[in-house]
Amino acid sequence: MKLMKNLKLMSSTAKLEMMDRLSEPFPFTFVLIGVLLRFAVVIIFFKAVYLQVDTLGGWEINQTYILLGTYFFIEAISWASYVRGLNHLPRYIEFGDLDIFMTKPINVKAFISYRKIDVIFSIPQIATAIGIIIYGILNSQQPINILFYLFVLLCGIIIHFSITSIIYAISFYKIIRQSTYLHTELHELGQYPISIYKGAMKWILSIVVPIAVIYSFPAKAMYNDLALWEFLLVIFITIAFYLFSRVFWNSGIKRYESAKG
Amino acid sequence: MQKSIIHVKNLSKTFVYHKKEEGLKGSLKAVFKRKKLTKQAVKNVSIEIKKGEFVGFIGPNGAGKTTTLKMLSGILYPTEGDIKVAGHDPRRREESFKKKISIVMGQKQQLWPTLPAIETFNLYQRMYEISEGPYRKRLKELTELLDVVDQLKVQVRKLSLGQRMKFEIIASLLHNPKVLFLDEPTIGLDVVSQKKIREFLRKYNRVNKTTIILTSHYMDDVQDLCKRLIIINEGKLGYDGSIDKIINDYSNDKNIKISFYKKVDRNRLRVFGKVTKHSMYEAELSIPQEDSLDKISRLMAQLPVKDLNIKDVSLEEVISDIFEKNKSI
Repeated sequence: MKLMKNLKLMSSTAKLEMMDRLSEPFPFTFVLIGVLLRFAVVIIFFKAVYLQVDTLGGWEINQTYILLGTYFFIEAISWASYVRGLNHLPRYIEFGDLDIFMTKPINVKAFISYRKIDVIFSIPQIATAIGIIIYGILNSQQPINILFYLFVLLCGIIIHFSITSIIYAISFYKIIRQSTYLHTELHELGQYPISIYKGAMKWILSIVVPIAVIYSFPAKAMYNDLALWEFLLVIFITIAFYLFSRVFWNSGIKRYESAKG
Repeated sequence: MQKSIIHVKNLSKTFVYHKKEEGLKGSLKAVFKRKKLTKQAVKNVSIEIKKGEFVGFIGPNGAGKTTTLKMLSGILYPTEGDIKVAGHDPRRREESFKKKISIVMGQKQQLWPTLPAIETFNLYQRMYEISEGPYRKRLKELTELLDVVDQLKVQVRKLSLGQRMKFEIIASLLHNPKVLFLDEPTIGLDVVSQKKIREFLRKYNRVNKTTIILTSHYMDDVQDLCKRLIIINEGKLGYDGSIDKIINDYSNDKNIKISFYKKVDRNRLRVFGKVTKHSMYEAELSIPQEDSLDKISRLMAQLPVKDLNIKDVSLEEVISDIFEKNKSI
């Protein structure tokens, strides 16, 4: 019942957001140009690197394309669905705008997540990301395991959602206006293969802030390169971060103090 | 005896806040060390409100009105005390509770500003799971009553403040709540819009028997709509009773408006009472109630009175007198 209600609300907010975006002139243009430029710069950078070396931390170029495609795909999907909504949370908390949501018969976290859902305008980004993954697959000389990839990718998206909601929910405890900056910088670490990081950094990015699990592990799964312990780590991290993000949010929302006026 | 729909016992709320010294130096210092302070915004408040009551909840700025309303509606988590609203504990923030209440905040907007109000209403239909038939019927009733049928498809940001507030009220009533919290719903509105909203609220309360708690700085709103008045000051409950009683108990004066057919000097009026307004041919006096009859008859005999009006002190005057002089209530 609750899932159905959320799906209906999600379709309503998507429609409202689309109408809202269409009320501004040139809704597509600037975002699209910016996104395509970023994609191009990153791909050119890796292409230049691979002109000098055959592998990067053991990763050949096509696996890196799959990693980059996965990175851009998660980025596009997350911004289209929940990041644009959640990144308003610090402002809602600081200025008391969360009041209205708190009195509505909704799951506040879910509703804020999909309140700014943007289906149509993200299609070019998502399509380009998928194109990069397909390009990597088609040029790959290694056997491919798409089902395994999709499963680990799904786990990666759940971890991404959990980390995102934790980052923005920090504002329940202490207002952080630069949450979006922290979120973006953190996830940018994921566009490089995990094997280029060494020592403590590698472990931090695998367990403490599991950026590697979100981006590198699906690309490894596509090549059947994921060890059993890494697969178990994916499952464990997914469950642990999801549960922690729920507890963190629920205890945070109890501390919500609104604002005067 | 009618059962309470709102039951509040020993409700308290403490906020933690920080103080920062003036200027850039103060800001830099605050990065490392900030002075942590606490403020008890609501102190041991206990209230019982019955179904269908229209209660005015007033107090000066920072008295704790909005904080109390926010705790009753589940927005804020109380520090201490018990609350039951429509059979629910607002702290639990259950969906079934939220379907029974609604809140309108004059200074906060729930409508999508760049879209027509109808789009937000359609979203709320899904949110409150209202079937299509009853939703359309209710929307028609409310928009007709508030006279905004023609503005339903106009972008919210293009509406006047009065029209926007009417739509905010409609948005809060679509699901037919049992309890409605109104936090300064007429703030910033012109006199005509205030009057129209008051007329609507009075009728709505009478017909639907919805319990309404109203906070407003406009005493006309409160005097016109509520029989019962709750006053909160510095977080503490000061008065809980009828409006008539507080006027009788706290006003010691009668207000008299006089017009003269000859010029009358201010000094000649002072012997009768406190002169609150004066021009050569008109004056307003405040005369102590106990000798008002005697003074009025002397005034009429001694001065060239053309017309005279006696009125009781208004709620606004009583309340401002209480708050200004910080009288105990």
